[in-house]
This record gives sequence, C-alpha cells and structure tokens, in this order.
Amino acid sequence: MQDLIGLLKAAGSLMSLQPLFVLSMGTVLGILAGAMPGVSPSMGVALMVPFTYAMNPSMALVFLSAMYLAANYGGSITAVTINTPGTPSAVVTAFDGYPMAKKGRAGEALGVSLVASVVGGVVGIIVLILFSGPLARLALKFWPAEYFSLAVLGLSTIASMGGQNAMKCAISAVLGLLICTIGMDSILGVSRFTFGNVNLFDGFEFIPMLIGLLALSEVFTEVEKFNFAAESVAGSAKAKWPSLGYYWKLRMSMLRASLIGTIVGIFPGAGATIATFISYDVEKRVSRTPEEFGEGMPEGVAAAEGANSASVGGALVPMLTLGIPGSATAAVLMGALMIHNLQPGPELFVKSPEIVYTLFASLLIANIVLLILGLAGSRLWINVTRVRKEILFPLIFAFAMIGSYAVNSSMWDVMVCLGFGILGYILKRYGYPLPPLVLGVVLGEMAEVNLRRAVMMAGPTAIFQRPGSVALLVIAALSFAIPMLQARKAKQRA
Amino acid sequence: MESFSSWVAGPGQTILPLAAAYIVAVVWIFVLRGPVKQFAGRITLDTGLAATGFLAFALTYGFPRMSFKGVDAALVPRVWASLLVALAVARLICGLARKDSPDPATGRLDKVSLLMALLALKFVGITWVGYFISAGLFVFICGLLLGYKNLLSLALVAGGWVAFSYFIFYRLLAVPLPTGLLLTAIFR
Repeated sequence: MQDLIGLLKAAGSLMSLQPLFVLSMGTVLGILAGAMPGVSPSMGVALMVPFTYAMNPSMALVFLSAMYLAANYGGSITAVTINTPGTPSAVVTAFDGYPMAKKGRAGEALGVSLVASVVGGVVGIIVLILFSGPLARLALKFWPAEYFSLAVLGLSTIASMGGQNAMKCAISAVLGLLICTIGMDSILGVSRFTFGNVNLFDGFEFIPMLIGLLALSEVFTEVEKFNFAAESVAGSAKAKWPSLGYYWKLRMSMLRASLIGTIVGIFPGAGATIATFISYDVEKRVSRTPEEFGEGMPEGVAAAEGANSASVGGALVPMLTLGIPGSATAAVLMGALMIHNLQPGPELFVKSPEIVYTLFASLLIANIVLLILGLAGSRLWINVTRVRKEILFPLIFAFAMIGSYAVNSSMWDVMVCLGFGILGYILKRYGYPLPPLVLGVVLGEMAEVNLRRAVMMAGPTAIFQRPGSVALLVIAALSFAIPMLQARKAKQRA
Repeated sequence: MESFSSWVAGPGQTILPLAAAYIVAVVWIFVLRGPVKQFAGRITLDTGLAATGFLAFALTYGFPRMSFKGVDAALVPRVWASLLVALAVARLICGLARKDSPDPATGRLDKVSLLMALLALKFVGITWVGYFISAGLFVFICGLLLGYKNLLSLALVAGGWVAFSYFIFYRLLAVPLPTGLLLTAIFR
C-alpha cells in the first residue's frame, strides 16, 4: 500500500510541464540514438549524462531512464526499414520485420514493434515494482555453471531456426562461436587467432559485424538479383497501419515476450539480445505456422520487441536492489545516479524512496510518451521504404560505413563490416542462415567464460553439480531435441 | 609436440593460412572441371569451412601454454573447431554425393563485384581524401552503378548525405571523421 501511495505521489509530481518536457526530450533522443547504428543505447545515455549535471537528481533520472527505454525501441526502426539493426538487441526484430517491410507491410511491422515495445516496457516495470527484491535474490544464486547452462539454452534455439537446414544452421552457429574466440582470452589473457594484429586483441566489434552480416549481405543479395526497374516499389501503395484488433490478436505473443524479457534481463550479463533470441524461439515453437517465421510474421516482431523492452525493467532490478547493473546502459544510469550522490542498492529504498518511486513512475509515463511519439514518428520512418532501391542502397552502404566507424572511430571497424558483409553474402547465397551465426557470436563469450570459471571452481563435472544448471541443461536438451523429432515424424508421415 | 607448437606460433602463422587458401583454390579449380561442377560453389564453400576449422584447430597449438586448474585458453576453440570440421565434412560428403541442391543460378555478379570494388575504393579514399569527399562520390557513383539516371537528384542525395553526416556525426556526436592525408597535408 505504501508503495502504491509513493508511486502515485511520484506520478503526480511528474504531471507538470517541465518533467513532461524532459521526459519527451529523453524519449526523442533515445529513439534517435537507438535508430542510429554505431550509437548504442549505453553510448547515447552516456553522451547525455553531462547535460544532467545541472538538473536535480529526479529530473536527471527521468531524462536518462526515458532515453534508455526509448533507445531500446529505436533500434527496431532501422531493423525493420533497412535491415540495419540500430542496436544488437534489434537483430531479431529484423528477422521478420524486414521481410514484412519488403512485402509492403512496413506499417504493420513498425506498429507491432512499437506496441510490443510499450507492452514489454510496462510489464517489465510492473515486475520491477512488484518483485524486485525476490528476483534479485534469485539472480544472485546463479553461479557460472548456471550462466553457462543459460547460454546453452540460448544456443539450443538454433534447432528451431533451421527448418530443413539443421546442419547448415549448426555450422553457422559453430562458426559464430569460433569467431567469438578471436582476441585476448578474458581469463588468462592469452592472445588467440590475432596473428599479431593489435586490432584483433579485443576480438571483432559487435555492431560493425552485425551491420555487415545483416545489412550489407542483404544489399549484395538484392543487387545480384538486380531487376530494380521492373520491381514495384514496396511502399508505393498507401501504408497500412494495424487496427486495435490486430494488436489484440498478438496479445499473448507480447505477454510471453514481456515475461521472458524481464526474467532474462534480470541476470547481469545476459541482457536484451539473449532475451530476444529466446523469446523469438519460444514464439516459433508455440506457433501453428513456425515455417513462416523469418518470412514476415508479426508474432516474430512482437516476440523480439516485447522481450527487448521488457529487459529494461529486468536490468534495473539488480541495479536498484543490489547495486549491480544488469546491462551496459544500466551501468551508465548507475554512474549518473552516483554523480548525483545517490548510491543504488538496498539503501536507496530506505534513504531516498522518492527517487525510486520517481524512477518507477517516469518509466511508466515514458512508455505512454513513447507510444505517442512512436506513432507520430512511424509515419515518417515508413517513407524510407518508399525510396527507390537505386537511392536507398548507396545510402545503406554509407550509413553502414559511418555507423561502423562511429563505434570506435576506427577504419578497422569499417573493414570488419565489409568483410562480414562479404562473408554473410556468400553464406546466404548457399543457404546458410545468418541468425545462428549472430547467436553464436552473442553467446560465445558467455558460454566459454562461464564454462571455464565453473570448471576452475568445481572441476570438470561442475555444470552437472548444481540443480539449477542441470534443470537449464535439461530444458536446453529438450528444446533442441523436440523440433528435430517433430521434423523427423513429419517426414516419416509424408 | 613442443617443436610443432613453436613452429605454429612462428612461421606457421603465415604458412598455415596460405596452405588453407591454396587447398580451397585447388578444390575449386578441380571441381569446376569435374562431373560435379554444378555443385562447385557449395563444395568450395564447405571445403573453405572445413579448412577454417582445421586451421583454427592447428593454430591453437601455437597459443602460449598457460592454464589454471587444468583449464587452458585452447580448450574451447578446439571444441568449436573440431565441430566445424566434422559438420563441414558431412556437408561436403552430401555435396560430392549430389544429395544437395545444385548451386543457385548466377545473377548480376558483375554488379556485385563492381560494388565491392567501389566499397574498397571508398575505404582507400577515406584515408587519402577524407570521409566527406569519398562518401559524397561513393553515393553518387553507386547510384549510377545501380542504374539511377537522374543526375541532379543523385547529386542532391549525395550532398544531403554529406551534410547529414557532417552535422549529426561530426558536429553533434563529435565522431572524428577522417579528413584525409592529402587534404591535411595541403591545408596544414
């Protein structure tokens, strides 16, 4: 009851011109930061921290948290319209969002992505408000063995990505895992596969690699078909926007995604990207038409975006209750709080409860603002799909190159982007799916580091010694085997 | 084993990748002339993947010998490399046995190659004449290459991109876009 009163008080204090303006500014800047490849949500929020020095702590928190929330959604805009995810967690949105846009359904894809983001965001925050304490304690019980098993569970999703190409899928994922081992080993500091090249010491930067694999490879594939003049421009017809009934049909997908996103987001280091992959996989498994995923299924977009936004609430759970940031952006937010002499952790609830309630309320209101601004903005973004390919493709290349460069201000990253673009094009040409490769890259380090830590702590059987780890491994084994068995049964029946 | 490790850590770093590339090239030439030439692309790619796995596995022997509680840095890469080899060889067998579908029909590879060359040129151009000039030229030439005929629109798009990247990335986000060795030398 006390929580509810505190929350209502905080919400009331935000209902004046200045806080709403600050919140709207944070949302707009967040959307832009998320949409721009090369500017990650954490970088966007970090860039804006100096502007909050002069604000009071509550206003600073309102501004930065709105930005964090909006940046996670912003990544989906370029993922849907030009297949260039603005953030790593928007990769999965591109799997179905971009095919929808190619079919002239960009309005639907952008609408679903926005509404799923808002639903995910709200669910994540409600969970944050209600269960932050017990959930944080649960996350603390996770040892490296459990984290490794969580990564294995994530990897088991490739079984449902492959369809008839299970072996190609596995090769793609293993290639991603191998690529992930390039660079300085994070436990012993041994340099691996670097050939003495200093640029390789940290491995490949994630964003240039993603842009190359997803955006450049797609453009190369389209150029190979090269029949632009004969093609009708996808967006030439009036963009169709989804009705409320359309969103209502996707309610279960959005809710499932929101819960998965929140739970995975709580685990420090797991993050939004893994949450989106797991959520997408679950959605595909429960769907009656799993074979249509990847071809433009709105459920796929809802699953990815719902989980992505819900992970924001999840990532704030350990930050607020234990002082451990659940994501890179949460770490920046934590830094910003500390600048204002506020120490996130259990004491924050006792010493400055008004700050905690302001954060909760601002996140809830930021979702409403995001919905309003997102709906208005989507009508602008849709125009991207109306641009002729002869103009759009050079701009995608230019955007990809500047986005890759902006990450570290390094030409090496531009080269990485080009290299992975060519690799992705070749693999795609011969039917090797790229999502498992991305998944391998995302989960590789988490799997390796935690496996090695677990073995160092408890010997070679470490991952089988803890019940949580075994349970996760069993779920992973089942989730890997069931689609295979189902496919075999279907084949036998045919 | 010690001498092999030190060879891998030394000259092997150059010789092994070259050997892998050589094997892939030989397989490609051989397959193109053989009875399975309609599978040439697939077979070459699978050979390339298997060779990558072998190469990675061999290179792990060049890693410095360091371990903590019996776990060293080569363990996980070896697992992934072995898996890659096994899976790629299995695919290779499918290709050689013609159990796979043939290579996809070749489209406008000339356009793709030209585009890749143009991207490489842009990369070099950024170093010499800077980002803004090479990006503007790139957007313009790339549009022409893709068959866009309206030169004025194309010039406007190229100029618009340069202006956008200058104001948003260079000024607002303070990304230090290269100004180029040549221009820096002239205007220094």
